[in-house]
Amino acid sequence: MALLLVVEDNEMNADMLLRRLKRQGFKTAWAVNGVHALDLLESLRPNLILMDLSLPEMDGYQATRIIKGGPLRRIPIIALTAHALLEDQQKALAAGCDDYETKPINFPRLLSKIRNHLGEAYDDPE
Amino acid sequence: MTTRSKAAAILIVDDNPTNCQLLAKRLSRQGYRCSQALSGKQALQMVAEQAPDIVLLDMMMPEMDGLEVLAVLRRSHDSISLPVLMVTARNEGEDVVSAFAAGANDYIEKPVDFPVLVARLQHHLAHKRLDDEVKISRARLEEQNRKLEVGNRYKDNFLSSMSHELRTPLNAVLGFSEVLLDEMLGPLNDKQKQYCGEIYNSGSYLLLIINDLLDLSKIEAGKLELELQHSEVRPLLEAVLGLMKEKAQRRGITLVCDIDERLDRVEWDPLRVKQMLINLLGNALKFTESGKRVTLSAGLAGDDEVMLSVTDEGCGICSEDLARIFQPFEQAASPMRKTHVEGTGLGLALVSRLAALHGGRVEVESEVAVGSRFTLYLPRSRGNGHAEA
Repeated sequence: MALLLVVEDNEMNADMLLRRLKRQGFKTAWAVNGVHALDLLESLRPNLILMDLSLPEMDGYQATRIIKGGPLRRIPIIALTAHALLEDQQKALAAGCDDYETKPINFPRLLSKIRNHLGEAYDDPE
Repeated sequence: MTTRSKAAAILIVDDNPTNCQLLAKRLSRQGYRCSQALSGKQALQMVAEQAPDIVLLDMMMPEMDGLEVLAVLRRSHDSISLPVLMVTARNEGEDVVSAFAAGANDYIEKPVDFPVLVARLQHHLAHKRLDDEVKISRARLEEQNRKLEVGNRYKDNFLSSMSHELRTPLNAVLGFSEVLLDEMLGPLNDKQKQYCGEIYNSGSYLLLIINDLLDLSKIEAGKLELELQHSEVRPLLEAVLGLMKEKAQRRGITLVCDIDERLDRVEWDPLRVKQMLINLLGNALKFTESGKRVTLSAGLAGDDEVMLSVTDEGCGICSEDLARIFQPFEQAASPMRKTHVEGTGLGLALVSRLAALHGGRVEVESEVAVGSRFTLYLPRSRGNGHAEA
């Protein structure tokens, strides 16, 4: 099953998202900010990243730019953010995110986005 | 002569001290404040230091003559902010021409005819005073404008950061109530299910309000752009009905749909059309009692427009309220006064603005105790005379 890396500083929100993803059968990992995500990236090699954009130390935009400029640039990144304006969306896509989902998360919609991107980048072995 | 023009400050520039003093004395008697400069150089210095209202400038002076002084003055003061009257000898006709070319406002010949001089001074001072007033009001307007812009930016920032701050806890409220409702953590009894459902519904309602507020502020700021596409009418209406069916059932209201078969594809923003219809249907359901009907119908209005209407058999809106229901934060007061109805009063404001963005409009007919009909008129395609958003 695909491994999803959730980058989220709010522990409560991270906990909930991780539970719900696990429930859907995904393997999950959690990073608390951009630096942490970059640290984990090489060893974990996740199939997809769910990236909160407002993060301490290194925000999601910068982390995305770094990942998308590196050797693991093919990993799809879905931005998750409570910023709901069109400009915010465009800013996320400009940073290199492949998709965008507004908080509060509409979980069924997020799931279909995840499956959509995994379909392109990952063949489910099961 | 008004007291204000009497207090005007005149700088008299003449290399002859007697002439200078004489003029100053007579003008002071008329109520002017006079200062005297005996050379061009001194005149420039005094203009800079005292900012006189008007300058009487002798043409013939040693070292720096009147024309030279004028040329320097005009680099920093235009003829409106500092009028200059040249004082010339009778035989200096050509110099008068060059004085005007250099920016003089007027001239007077020596020997000075005093009443004529005073008349001319008054004329130019009145002109300058008007101009000063215009400048002051313009500066005031610009200042107010700037404040408004800052305020507007502040409001925009406030709304977007409020939206962000409200969404984060809502994410937990909605997410965890969903997690519980999904019985991920074990089965719930009926009461627990019901209460979790209430938490979820209330959270969703809050989210709706936040989104409406954000949309409205985006529209007001001219920042909301439609994503136009050609789409079929019927599936869109059916999707909307599907979303409202449960609420209608719960309230015991029959939801009827009536679509003209001739309707096919329309160029619009499907998401925004859905949003408008959900708003209108939500209102209709809210104000209609159990056992009554709410009808969604769609048809053609002329060749170029589609007409989507929501008709209810609710309490109706009295004529004095009809005029203001499309204003933000307004709700019809009567006849609903007795029972408070939930709602921010943002819905109809949003509907009317979204309709306008489409180049269309929303109209309402209503009769108290009989019901209301809200009708959206939207162009079938953007080719037909729409107003640019």
